[in-house]
Amino acid sequence: MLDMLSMLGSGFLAVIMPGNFIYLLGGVALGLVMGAIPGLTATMAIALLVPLTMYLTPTQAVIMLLGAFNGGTFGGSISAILMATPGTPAASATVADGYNMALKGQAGKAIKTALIASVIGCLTACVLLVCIAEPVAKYALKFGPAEYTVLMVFSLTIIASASGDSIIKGLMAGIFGLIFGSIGVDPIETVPRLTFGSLNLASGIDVITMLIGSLALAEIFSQIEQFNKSTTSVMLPPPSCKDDDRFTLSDLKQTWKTMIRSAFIGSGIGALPGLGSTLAAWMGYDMAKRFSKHPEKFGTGYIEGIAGPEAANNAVCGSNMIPLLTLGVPGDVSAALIIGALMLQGLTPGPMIFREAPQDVYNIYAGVMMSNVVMAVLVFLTVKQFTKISKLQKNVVIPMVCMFCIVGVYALNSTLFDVAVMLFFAVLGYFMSKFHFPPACMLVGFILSPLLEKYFRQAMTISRGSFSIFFDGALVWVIWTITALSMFTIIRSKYVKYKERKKATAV
Amino acid sequence: MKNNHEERKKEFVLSEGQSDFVIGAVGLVFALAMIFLIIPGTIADVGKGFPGPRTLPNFYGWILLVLSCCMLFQASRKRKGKSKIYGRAEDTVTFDLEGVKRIAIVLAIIVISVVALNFLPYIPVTIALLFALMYVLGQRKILVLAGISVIPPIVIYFFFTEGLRLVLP
Repeated sequence: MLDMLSMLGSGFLAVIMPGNFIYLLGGVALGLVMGAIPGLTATMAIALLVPLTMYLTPTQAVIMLLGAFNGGTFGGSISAILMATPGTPAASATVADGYNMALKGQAGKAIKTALIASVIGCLTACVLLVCIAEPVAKYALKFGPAEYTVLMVFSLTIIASASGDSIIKGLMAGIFGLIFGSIGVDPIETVPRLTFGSLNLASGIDVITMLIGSLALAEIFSQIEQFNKSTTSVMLPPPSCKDDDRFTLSDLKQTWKTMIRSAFIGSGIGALPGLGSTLAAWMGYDMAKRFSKHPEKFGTGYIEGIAGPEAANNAVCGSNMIPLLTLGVPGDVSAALIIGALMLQGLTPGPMIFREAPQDVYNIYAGVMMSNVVMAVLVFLTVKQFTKISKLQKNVVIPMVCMFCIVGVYALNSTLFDVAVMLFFAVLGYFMSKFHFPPACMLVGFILSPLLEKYFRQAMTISRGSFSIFFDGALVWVIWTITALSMFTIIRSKYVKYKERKKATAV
Repeated sequence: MKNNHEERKKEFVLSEGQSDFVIGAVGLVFALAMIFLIIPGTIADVGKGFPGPRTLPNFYGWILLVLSCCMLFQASRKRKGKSKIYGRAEDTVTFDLEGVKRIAIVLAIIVISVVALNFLPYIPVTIALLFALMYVLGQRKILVLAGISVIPPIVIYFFFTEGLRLVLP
């Protein structure tokens, strides 16, 4: 324990050294700005920064990326609140209440609530990370492909919980995600799959392209559909009193339980591979609504509707380091990019990193925690600047967002083919949202698809084609039991909702 | 009354049962195409044991087939009105035809600009793109049109090419 605290202390000292701190500051600032611009995500900020990390030390590189991730995840909520356009997919759950608060002249309060919830969420996750990462890493050394396959199946069950009212639609969206995720060269036989002869599809569809298309641009299309030329200006009313611009003690009393609950939900989801902050945000929102004394106020500009998703999505920034550092498995796309950056530095994420570079691990912990402090200070100092975005006209903002989407996707691989793929997903995402398909389910399926296939086929190769490997050993059974419990809980809650609706209709 | 009629004429509305039918039908066609056309046509049969490159895509195709059939069954139940719990307003699908037309125009402008980027440099194409999009969305102030369509593309170009060392067309 003392060793742990001493290494954490050394980590903080390393992070606040000016040579390192400047990268943390730069990462957070870039993340905030890019997150706040719709279409540019935290993931994209990290993707743009990864090549720069080649010239940095491991500590500088990772804290800069984590700062960008944390800042970008929060930054997305700024445009969600001010413009009803989530800057990042993770902020999509904040839109309803955030924007309605802004329409009531409470934009400042909404942003500060989101900030405090984000900081509490991420710091809670960091504490969990420090406490459980090392023990999990020791245990994870026992995991094989069969355990990982069942873990992926467990992660897929989350589709059912994120599927809204219709599990069938959720599962269909998940299957579409799995199919899109299997496009590209087969990982074992190296034959092209579902590429239709296109070399551009040989390496598969880039997840960022898909994200920007199906979430950001599809959302823009929906906004264009409802766009009214006569109301071109999105003028938010000014605060009616000082409290409309502040996060007060009574707000804290009202939201702290929601924040802590959502922080744990986000930490749990972030700790599971492949799920990510979007799902965490929606689950945080859902749980906040379920436990609220006033669930009917959600979606009308209610402060708990911001605290819930924001605490949950930023908790992922800390807790997705758990599978990354302990199992070498990316919690989401951003974590996958951070794995890439660590490998550029000669570090291999996974259980062995705790033996090979323990101080770097503690520097990462300290970096994530410090990024919250830096983010809080930056946002409090510049919140007025961010609110100026609200004065922009929609018929100026929408074209700008389209431009950022195009340039951002193009910059990933310097190919216009990706832009075409983005447009395809934008149209698909638009129709999906029209037909009430949950986009999160497609994303979960898409991200998990290659991992599921890799581990499944490895396990089958080891067992020479026998499925018994997935039921062999105590560890596998533990994961199966958790999966069954998860499915039971989800189906039960859907059934209860169905019954309630039936009763309401009968009355 | 006349106004209401005009409002209605501008919208294309699908009931919940109809929208489920559309989803089920599209899913069914896609699943059948996956299983019998796309997978055999685009994934080579390597002829080695199980699991091969076709295994999981085939599995996904069959699950989609089953789910689509479930959706069609659900749609038929709703259309016959056997279930009493459906028909909630939020579950109907409404297309604002004016809005859809606007989306089509915006999409066409984006597609044209992406095609143009194959032949022309980034800055002029993006200036034209921004100008056209703003105009279509109702912006008529010439200063805003000129300023926003010229300055951001130049700033973005230099940020990406000089700051981030990324190549733009």
